[in-house]
This record gives sequence, structure tokens and C-alpha cells, in this order.
Amino acid sequence: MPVYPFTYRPFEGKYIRRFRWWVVFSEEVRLWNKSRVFQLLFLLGIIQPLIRFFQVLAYNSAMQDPNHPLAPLIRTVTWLKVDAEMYYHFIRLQAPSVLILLLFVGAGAICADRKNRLWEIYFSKPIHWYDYLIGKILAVCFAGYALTFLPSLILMFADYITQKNSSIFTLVNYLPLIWKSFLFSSVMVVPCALGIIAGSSIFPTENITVISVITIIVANTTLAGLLSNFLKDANYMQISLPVAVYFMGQKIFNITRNMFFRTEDISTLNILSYILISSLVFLFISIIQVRKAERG
Amino acid sequence: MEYQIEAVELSKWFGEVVALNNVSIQIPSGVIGLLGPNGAGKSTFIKLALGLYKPSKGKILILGEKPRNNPRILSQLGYCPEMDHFVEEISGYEFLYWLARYSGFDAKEAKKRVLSILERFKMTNKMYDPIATYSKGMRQRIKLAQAIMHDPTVIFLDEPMNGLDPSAREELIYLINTLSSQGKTILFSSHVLHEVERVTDTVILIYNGRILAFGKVREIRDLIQNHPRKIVIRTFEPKKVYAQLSIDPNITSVSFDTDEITIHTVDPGITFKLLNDLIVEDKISVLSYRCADEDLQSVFQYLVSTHIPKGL
Repeated sequence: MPVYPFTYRPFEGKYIRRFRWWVVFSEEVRLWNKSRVFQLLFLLGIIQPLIRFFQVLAYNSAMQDPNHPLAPLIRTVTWLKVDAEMYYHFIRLQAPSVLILLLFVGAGAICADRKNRLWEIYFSKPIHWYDYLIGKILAVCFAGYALTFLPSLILMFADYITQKNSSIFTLVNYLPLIWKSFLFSSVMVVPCALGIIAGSSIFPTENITVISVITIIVANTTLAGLLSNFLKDANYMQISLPVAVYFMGQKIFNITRNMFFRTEDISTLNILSYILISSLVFLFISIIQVRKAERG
Repeated sequence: MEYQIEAVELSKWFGEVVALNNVSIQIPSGVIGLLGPNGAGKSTFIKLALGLYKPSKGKILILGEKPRNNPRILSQLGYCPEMDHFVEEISGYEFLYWLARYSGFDAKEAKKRVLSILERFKMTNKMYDPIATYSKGMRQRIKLAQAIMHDPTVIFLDEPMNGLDPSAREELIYLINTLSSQGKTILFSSHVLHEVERVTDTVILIYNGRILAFGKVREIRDLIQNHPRKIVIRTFEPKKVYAQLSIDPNITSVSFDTDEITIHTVDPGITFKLLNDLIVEDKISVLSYRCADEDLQSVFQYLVSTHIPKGL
């Protein structure tokens, strides 16, 4: 191990003292970005956005050209229509891909560091526990948004540039849709990411985290299904977190057609509270675990 | 600042296990050896100093401030842990790069520092290989590199010699001396005493979570007032030598070998003087003599034996 006398020069630059979570975030994103499994899962996740992209192109060209050979077909098939509901369905149908990708990137986010005893090194550096946790959570959320909100933006942009009368002013028309897509993506991605991070902070390995998270989701939805069957009340389905998320998506996109519940007397506030409280519980678990590790 | 590390009634317990018990110590700059057997509390002390553990009682100050959640102090500390702490699937370069970023460097500076340190540690040709493929020695180098690449003021090396081959040990000793000459404070823990002795003559002896002694090896030796010390005399006439030395009341026991006599004395000064006088007066013929327990190992054993309750 050859070492020379003048190896260790003092740093004359400026230390980055703020937004340390950005380093954790970047490290996390770079780490899984290199993984072939991640690349494969991501490719699978963008199949739907690609299909939707062609749908947007086809719909706009057919709608703007009455002589287009596809025009009669597109006018009659309602689900080919490019409107707010399409974005709702797009994000909703991304849910399985989001769950799988988030499980891949998030399951090992904390437990792998614990397994590799990396906390000792990380927390011996000038970094706070909350920088660490924020970085991890944001990285996992970013993966989720990369399959929901970001493709929505691209689809909206594709829609915008293929419109005949598009101008810089018509961009403003997309703002509500951007906001709705962001909200629904967040309602889907954030609880999922927090749940997986909480699992990762509790369970010892990635595999156990994945199995546990899937089991909890299945158990939660099964319980909701059983209750609604036995008690003959479809509204009990709101106990299922995925159904609650879908329901919130409907509300965000003002889809009046009830897809999940028997009646309209379901309280949106209750369901939103349920999602928020679940997310806070997940966050609280992660905070406790990381604080515990940081305290030693 | 006079003291780099200062502990005041510092205690740490894990459940019912007391890892560190009411330790008060003031450590100045320089290279300090932290000696103690496994489980003595060395790593606990280091982790408290790094702010990785919260003290159960008392306090610890590094460079005059509490280290815990204190980025200003933490950026001046370097830590080489005892165990391996790696992301196995990434390369050594990448691992060091991210840790440099954690230390607060921007991407450009982090890259520059990592390349420089990897070159200095002769790791350039393997820097893009996954850490999982590294040998024990290479892993140790990576751990050391991350501990010093940000130019810390105080460096904690927890059993850094573990797994190093003899030449790497020599290089590490050279590294510690180099860092010391640059004014760094180095707290170097080990349970292999001769390793520490080669790096520094200032040691802290720790056992069962308590500081047994702190100071120069010779000063620590002076603490051992009543323990007999061992002198080995090489001679062809051991019985004659013993007969002459027996007038010294400080000698507590004697053992013979074919050409050697080993004596235990409570006052080696008087015994050595008597021995010299006998040789000068040609009353005995001696090939050589030496104090057999001058090294740290025996100092440590003596101190530990006086602190371990009988029957344990």
C-alpha cells in the first residue's frame, strides 16, 4: 500500500452543507439505474406510455382530418378518445408496473444499507438522518413518477404539438390536466414508496420486504373484498388501499361514473384521510427505524 | 485548542450491558493508541466520538464541540471502521466518490480526490472492478482511503491492521506517521499490542468499559508499583548468579533453565544495580540480561490483572 507524503491536500472550495439529501438521492438513482433488472422493468413500464403515445398521434390526426381512413373508427370507439379520462386510465393502468418497479428500487433501499453496515459510514459523514431518509424516499418516488407523471407530461406535449391550432397560449389549457395527473400520480406513488421504504427499514432483506409488502397489499384487498361480500356492502372496498387510490384518482379527474362502490355516499374526505394516515404511518415507521439506527 | 477529544463521565450501555463506564479523559493531538481486548469498549468509544452513538450518560467533545448531528465537526472527522462496510456490487471508485459527496464535496472535487487517493493507494487498475471482487487488503485500503480523503483533523482507525499483509502494515504505519507529521490527531485502536507500539508510545488502556491507564508506556509502567517485573539473565552458571543475587530482598521468585535464569523483582532499579555491580566486580559471568516484560503486552496484562476481580 504505497502512500506518499503529500497525498492529503486541504480543500479550498466550498463544502455543500445544504440539501445533502440530494447526494443520497443521486447515489440511489445512479445505483439502480445501472441494474439490468431495473432497465428491463422500466422498459416494461413504458410499454403503455408508448401505446398511449401512438393513440394520441392517431387520434389527433384522425380527428383533424375527416378523410382519414381511421376517422370513423376512432369516432366510434370511445376509449380511444384523448381526454382527461384517458390520462386517468393511463395512470391507473400503470399501477402494477409502478408497484413492481418501486419494489425493485425501494425494497433494498434501507435494509441493504443496514445489511452492509453502511449506516456507520454514512452517519460518520456530515449527513443528518433526515437527509438520508428524504433522499431515499424521493429516489423511490422519482422512479414512480418516471412511470406515471413524466409520461403523462410527454403525452400532453405530444397532444399539444399534434393539435392543428396549437399555440403558446393553448399550453395554459393543459395546466389543470398537469395538476390532476400530478395529484393522481402522487396519490398512487407516495403511499406506495413510503410503504416500501417502511418495509425496507423493518425487514432484514430485500426479498422479505418484497414478500411482506405484497402480502400486506393482498391481505388488505382480500379483507376489503371479504367484508364487502359478507356484509353485502361494496363500500367496504374502501378499506383496500389500492381501491382507495383508484377512487381518489376518479375524484381528481372528476369521473362521475362509479367504478368501485355501490353508492355515491362514499366520503372522499374519509378516503383521502385513510390514504394520508397510511402514508404518515409508513413515514413514521421509517423515521423511527432510521433514528434508531442513527442513535446507535 | 488543547484537547482534541474530551470525554466527561461518558457512559454507554446497551440494555443491561455496560459498554463504557464513566470514562473521563482528555486526549491531546498526536497519535494515540487505544488498547484493549475484544469487547473492552474501544469501538464504542470511537463510535461515541463520531456521534454514531448517543451517550447514555456524560458527554464527549471533539474539537470542543459535541459531534452528534454536528456537520461542522463530522466533516473534520475520518473513520475507518473495523468491519467491512461496502456496497459490494459497485466499484471502489464509485463507493469512494459517493462518500466524498457525503463529505460535502461537489462532483468535480469528489472525482478529483477519489482519483488522487486511489492512485496513491495503487488501486487505479482495479478501481472500476466491483468491490465484491476485492481482496481483504484492497478492501482495507478502500476503507482507509474513505477515512482520509477529505483531509480530516481527527482520524479514528478501528483495528486498521486487520487483514493486512506485512508490507501493507508497514505502509499503514508510514501513512499514520505521515498524517501525524501533518498535524492530524489519530486514535488507533487495536488489541494487538505490538502494532500500536510501533506507531506510538502514547496509549490508552481500556478494559471492561473503563480506562485503565493513559499516558506514555513508561509512565504507565510506573503505575505498576507492586507487581514484580521479570529479568532474564543468560549465563552458563545460573546457580552461582542466583546465589549472588539472593541478597537482594526485592527478588520474589527465580526460575532456572540450562543457560538462563529468570528472576522476578519488585524493584528492578535496585536489582539491575546489584547485577551491574556483580558483573563489574567479576563475581559472576553473564552473557546478557534483559527486562523481559518491557513491552506493552506485559504492561497491559499487569494492569488488566490488577483490575479483574479475583475468581473471574
